[in-house]
Amino acid sequence: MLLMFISCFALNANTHPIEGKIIDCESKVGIQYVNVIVEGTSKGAVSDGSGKFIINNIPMGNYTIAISSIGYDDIRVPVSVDDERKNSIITIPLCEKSLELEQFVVTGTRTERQLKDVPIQTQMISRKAIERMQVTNFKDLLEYELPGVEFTNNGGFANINMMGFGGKYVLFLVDGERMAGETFDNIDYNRIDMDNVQQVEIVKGAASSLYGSNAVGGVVNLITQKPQKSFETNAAVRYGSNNEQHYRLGIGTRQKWGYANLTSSYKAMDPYLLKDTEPLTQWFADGSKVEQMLSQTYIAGFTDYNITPSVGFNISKKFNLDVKGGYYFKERNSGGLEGRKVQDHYYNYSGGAKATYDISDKQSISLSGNYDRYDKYKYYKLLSEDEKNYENAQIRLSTLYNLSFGKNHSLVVGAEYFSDDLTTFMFQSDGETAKRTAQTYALFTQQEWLLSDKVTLVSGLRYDYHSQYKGHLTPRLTAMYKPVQRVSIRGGYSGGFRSPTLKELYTDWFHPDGGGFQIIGNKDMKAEKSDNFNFSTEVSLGKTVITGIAQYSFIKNMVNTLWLNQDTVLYANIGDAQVLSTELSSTSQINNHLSLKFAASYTKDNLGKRSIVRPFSATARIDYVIPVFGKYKPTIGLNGKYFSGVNIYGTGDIANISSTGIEQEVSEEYRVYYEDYAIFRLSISQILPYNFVLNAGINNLFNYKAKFSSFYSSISPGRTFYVGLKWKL
Amino acid sequence: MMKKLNLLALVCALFIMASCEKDEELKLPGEVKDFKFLEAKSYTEWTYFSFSKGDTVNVTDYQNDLSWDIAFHRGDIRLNGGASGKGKGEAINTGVIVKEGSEADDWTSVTEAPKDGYSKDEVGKVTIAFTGANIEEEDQPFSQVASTWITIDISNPPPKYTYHHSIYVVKAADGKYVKLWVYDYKNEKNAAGYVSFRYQYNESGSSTFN
Repeated sequence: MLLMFISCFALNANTHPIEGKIIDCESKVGIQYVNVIVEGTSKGAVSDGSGKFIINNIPMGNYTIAISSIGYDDIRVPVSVDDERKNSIITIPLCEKSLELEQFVVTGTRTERQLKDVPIQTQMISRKAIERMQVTNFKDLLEYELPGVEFTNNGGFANINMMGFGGKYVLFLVDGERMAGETFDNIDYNRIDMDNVQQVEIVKGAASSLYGSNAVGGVVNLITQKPQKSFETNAAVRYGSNNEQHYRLGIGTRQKWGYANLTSSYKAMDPYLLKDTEPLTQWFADGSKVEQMLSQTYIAGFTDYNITPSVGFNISKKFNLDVKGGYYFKERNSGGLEGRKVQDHYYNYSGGAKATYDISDKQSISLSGNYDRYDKYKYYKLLSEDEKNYENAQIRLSTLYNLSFGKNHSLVVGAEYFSDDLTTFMFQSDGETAKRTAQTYALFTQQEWLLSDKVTLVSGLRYDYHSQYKGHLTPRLTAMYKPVQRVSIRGGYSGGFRSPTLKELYTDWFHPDGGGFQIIGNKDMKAEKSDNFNFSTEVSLGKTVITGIAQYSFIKNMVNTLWLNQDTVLYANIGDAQVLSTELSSTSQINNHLSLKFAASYTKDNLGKRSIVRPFSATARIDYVIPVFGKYKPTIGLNGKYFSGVNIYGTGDIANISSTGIEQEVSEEYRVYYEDYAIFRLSISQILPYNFVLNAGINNLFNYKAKFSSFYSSISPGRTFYVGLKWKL
Repeated sequence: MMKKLNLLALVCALFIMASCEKDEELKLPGEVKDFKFLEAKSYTEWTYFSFSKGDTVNVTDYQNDLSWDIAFHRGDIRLNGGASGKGKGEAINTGVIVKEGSEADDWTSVTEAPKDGYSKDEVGKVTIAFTGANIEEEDQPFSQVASTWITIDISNPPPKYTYHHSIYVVKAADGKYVKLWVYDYKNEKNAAGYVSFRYQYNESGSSTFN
């Protein structure tokens, strides 16, 4: 009894409250509605009107409290609860990050720069934005966050269009490294584990000489997360319509010697069926029209998983070594009876290492090597056999030397070797697979000159030597001018050079669909050369940032396909092309529980009847933290995307087999009008005790369904739902 | 006397009824079978099939040959009757559609062959070559009813194949009833031009399927 009394007393004596005040780091004013959570416990609080909070009954010990509020940087503060400090009040300053301009990016210059100071126009999607979007798919993130991005359905495969440019003009990187394996020039977007992405950085218009000169449409660099704590782990589950499933487990540690991280994820979704409600209508020049029969289109489902281990060593203060690997598998089910018989299997193996040595605080050198291989198989389920039909292996070796001299000048010099081996059944008309290769060697340099407080100049040169297309030099020049504190104006020129892809060079494939036709590559084509101009203005008005971007590209000898005869498709230089795109966006952090974002883009090219771009599109997003439930405040988000309508032209014989045989139409030009549409998403995020977060949402809130399914129509199944739970320690 | 006559009539009637019943019992519905991936990819040749054999048959002079019941040519179907042959082949669409998930129930819901309304094969346009965008057609006899099982839309590559999953009742060359559902146009590797179908051939001549 006495013992119990003593222990009770002791317990009581050993708990203390954590008391504190959250203030704005600039105005020193208390901030209301800030979440304060003691990590590893269910305890937490919310700051009151003067920014004060109190969390009672915390046993003595060392803790970390996590502080989060919309509009401010999330921070974590170590706190000791002991007798000495029992009455102390900790003051925690929070800095308004609001504007993502304060965040760091690396893509344009390969050194960490704040978005507002990076001289090369860079767009960024932050971790917070990714979390608010609640997307498990990289494709959805790009499409709903960036106005000028659209994914169309190319024979059942996602096909990007980014401000007028297709997949072969967009370079996707993960931590600066390329991804092998394309389908119609698009990477396998499922490879990206969204929960492992820290941020996405986009540099448009081949503006940086550090990357291939072919990326005229843009460089999209995904920066992955690295562990920050001595032990951290996270898990997520999600379930949604069409049997959408997502499971994830990650574990990591950061130590004095470096870090180790292991992430794994599993995603799956069933195929679904889109049913036409109105016929696809072909309009001819004379005003006549042909209505196609109503049809049904399956949108493929998938099952995929990936495992990504990475480890980093701080070998010395100056010498770091990072090593990472990856394994990924995807099964694609095209749906219906066909999907039950034959599935596509995809395998990806990757590995890489990067060593960085700081010669001095002004100089550093890095060396990296990366291997990425992507295989495709057909799996015949009824026959229990598989057939390999594609292998793409890419090796990239690069070295980079950074030097800053004086206060105002920095220099990057680098060299790169890139080898691309592609084995596919499309390279030989007899259907056997054949291998084709290309090597590119590049030397590049980029210099940054701080001419004055207001003017920064970046000049770059890149020399690419392609095994078939030999050498080519492309120059770049970008200037950033800050006439006043809150305004940045950037503008520049970059030269582009794109050697045709291996498929454009070597395809020799009999396409069996319809009556069949031969697709032939062309080794006599010229490389594409381009002149790219970009201009942007950024105005920061306190809580609102307005950005306008314009980009113009002139592409000489653009490569495209031509119908040679009725039965042959040939790759050829079809002539010069011009693409102009503009984008206007506005981001506002009204207060610490309301933020708004709006962006619109307009794209115009001179391809006339070959153009496939929806000229106008817009995105909007609103996030609101509802000040209820004390410390467990829910965040509600609504975002939408609008695409304008577009006429897509087609030529050639239009034939239609009906039940009574075949009716052949005349060989004439026609257009198909794809209507404009908008899709909205509603999401809610609820913080729960013990580090859990509940996510739920409705995709396609107003249940938009395309009237008919074809290449350029929305593939949304209509309104869908999901619910998920995340946990983090 | 009256009673005797009545009794005789009753016995007679019973006998007739019994014999009738016995007769009906003999006319059992046939077995339900599936034939998978019948190769019909040739544009120039038809593949002939016999319901009684349950397999393909070689036919040289189809219009004067009674060994075949149904023939396939890409998505086209021909029956041994009308303009196509000397047999009694003809077809009717029962209007019953087999839906995903309820295949077995939908199939058994057609219990009786319709008494009339059958159509015989007529001459129409059939594709005999298809290369690139070039299509060559020829006048040939085929079943305008049974060929509606599929719609092939080649307006934009790749072609879209839409299966309508109708249940037809067709008559074999010998005039016997066959319940038919053609459900697939692709083989194990999803190559087009391979037809799979379910059929119930009432060898007994029964018009009842269950």
